[in-house]
Amino acid sequence: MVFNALAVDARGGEVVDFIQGESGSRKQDTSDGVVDLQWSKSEGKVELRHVRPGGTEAIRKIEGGRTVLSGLEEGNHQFFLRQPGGEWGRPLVVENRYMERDEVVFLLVIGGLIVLAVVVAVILGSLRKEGG
Amino acid sequence: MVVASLSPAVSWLVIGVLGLIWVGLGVYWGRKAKDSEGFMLAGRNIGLALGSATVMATWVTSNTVMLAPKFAYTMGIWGVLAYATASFGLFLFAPMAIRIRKMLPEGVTAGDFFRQKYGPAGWWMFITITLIYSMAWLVTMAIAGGELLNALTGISYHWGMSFILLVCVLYTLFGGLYAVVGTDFVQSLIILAGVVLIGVLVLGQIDLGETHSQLAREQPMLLEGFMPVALLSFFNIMLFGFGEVFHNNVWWSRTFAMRDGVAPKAFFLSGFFWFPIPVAAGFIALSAGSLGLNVTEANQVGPLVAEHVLAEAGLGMAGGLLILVVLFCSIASSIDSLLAATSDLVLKDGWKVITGGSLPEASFRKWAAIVIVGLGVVAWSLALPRWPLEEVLYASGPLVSAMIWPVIAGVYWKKVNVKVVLVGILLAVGCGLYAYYAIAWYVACLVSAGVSLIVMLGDQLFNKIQAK
Repeated sequence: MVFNALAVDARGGEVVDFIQGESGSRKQDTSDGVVDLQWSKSEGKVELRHVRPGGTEAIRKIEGGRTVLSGLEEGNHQFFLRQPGGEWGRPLVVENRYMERDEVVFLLVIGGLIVLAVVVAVILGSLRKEGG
Repeated sequence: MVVASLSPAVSWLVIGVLGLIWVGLGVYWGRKAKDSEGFMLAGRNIGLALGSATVMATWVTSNTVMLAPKFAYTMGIWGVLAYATASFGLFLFAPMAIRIRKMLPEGVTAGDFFRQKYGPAGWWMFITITLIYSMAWLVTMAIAGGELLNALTGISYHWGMSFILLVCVLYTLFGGLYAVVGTDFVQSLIILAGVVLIGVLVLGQIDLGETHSQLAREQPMLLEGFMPVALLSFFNIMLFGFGEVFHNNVWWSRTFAMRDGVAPKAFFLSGFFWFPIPVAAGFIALSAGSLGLNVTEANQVGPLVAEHVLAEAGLGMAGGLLILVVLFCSIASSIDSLLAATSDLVLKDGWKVITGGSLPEASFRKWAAIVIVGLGVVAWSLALPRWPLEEVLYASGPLVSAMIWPVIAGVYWKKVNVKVVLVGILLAVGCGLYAYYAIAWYVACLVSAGVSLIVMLGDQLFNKIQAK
């Protein structure tokens, strides 16, 4: 999941704001716990504030115009961007929803059966052929 | 982004020397290739050590050293273990190799099997799937080579990609499978030693307690027992591996090239030795956060962490060299195998389809040179604009998974209905691709192999009812 944003030059205390990609939406979905945030190449560092679904938050200073975050828990994650010393821009909300547990269990059972069938077919086939 | 720790001049010197060694060895070993069988199958005389090494080295692609860390970074511990299950394809191909050698004692390519079992229509289906997959694999290797050289050394993408392809084309051209197998042996030793050394050095430098705390705080799902994407990717990777190894000529040509009785042992040993490599190469990515690294491209997180930690340990240039050599060997060992196996298919099978006869021995080397150089030029042309062909490679998972059951049926089953098998392949590919785009990549191979299984079992059931 890739999101584009633009870190506007914060001269004179201007607010740094996210600018969304094609959809223009400020809310995005992901289903694998990975978020790829991009913004226009800015001079020096920017600060990224991450507010997690539980309300805890962390601020990271990042050099360059992109970061890939992973291992996100389920729920709404809010991201804010600013140039150091500037004001936080409007949040980008990323909703992370993994596949439903029941669906995952169903697919795991199916996957297990298919793999088992392949293994049994090869081993039995070999035993029968090699056994004469 | 990985910050180059080696100057372009030093890097050119290193890859230049490595390239010269590979081409020199290719020319030296290639002198044994007196005829087409020598060139394509190394005289059907490969022993256990070379056989195991070439299979293992081929399976250690840039995907292993780049994607395994990516799996760790995006899916955690389960992710890297899931990636390691790709070795199961090698384990399962070991018993199949015995049967394949008995079925086709004079076999040269996987195409021989498909033509014999499923006729011209089956062969066309096989060649279409395998060429899409093999070319996507070849081109993505070349692109990965160019990007890695650029990231690690500052050498421009186009020069790096062109150089790595040129070296592989040259030694495959001069030495055929003799050169590929020989260089694979040396490359596999370098890769194994390098990955273990990098893993140990990184392990000695990172604070495991801090890494765990950081993961629990910032990337909690990477430590979760029930991580849906990672758990589902287990079967996707496994089935992708089965489909790839069962159908691709890279593995079939090695089976035909090994001495009697060697292939099963070689495939089993290579799977055994390959299994820990993604784990060793991948786990270091889990420490990216605790090291304060900004990951901008998930597939470069492995080299990023390794280079950072080795630089912190005072091994800046030496560490960079180590990573460069391991990556160069990983990429070369896959590109050469793909060039050799795909050119065999075009030379042997393509010639037969176009002319109806076999390629005359006298003109074999000339045509082999044309095809190998041609494949290299096509791969180079496709890699030049740096198209995101990894998407094609990932999407080919359902294609190769659709070949699992047709191969098993052709190798072991007494009776199969060819039309049903071919319809099954088409259905499996269609449903798998739909799942890939409509649901997620991590269920695509599962859907494809599942549909194929249902069709094949349905046919067997129908046969049994009819027989009664």
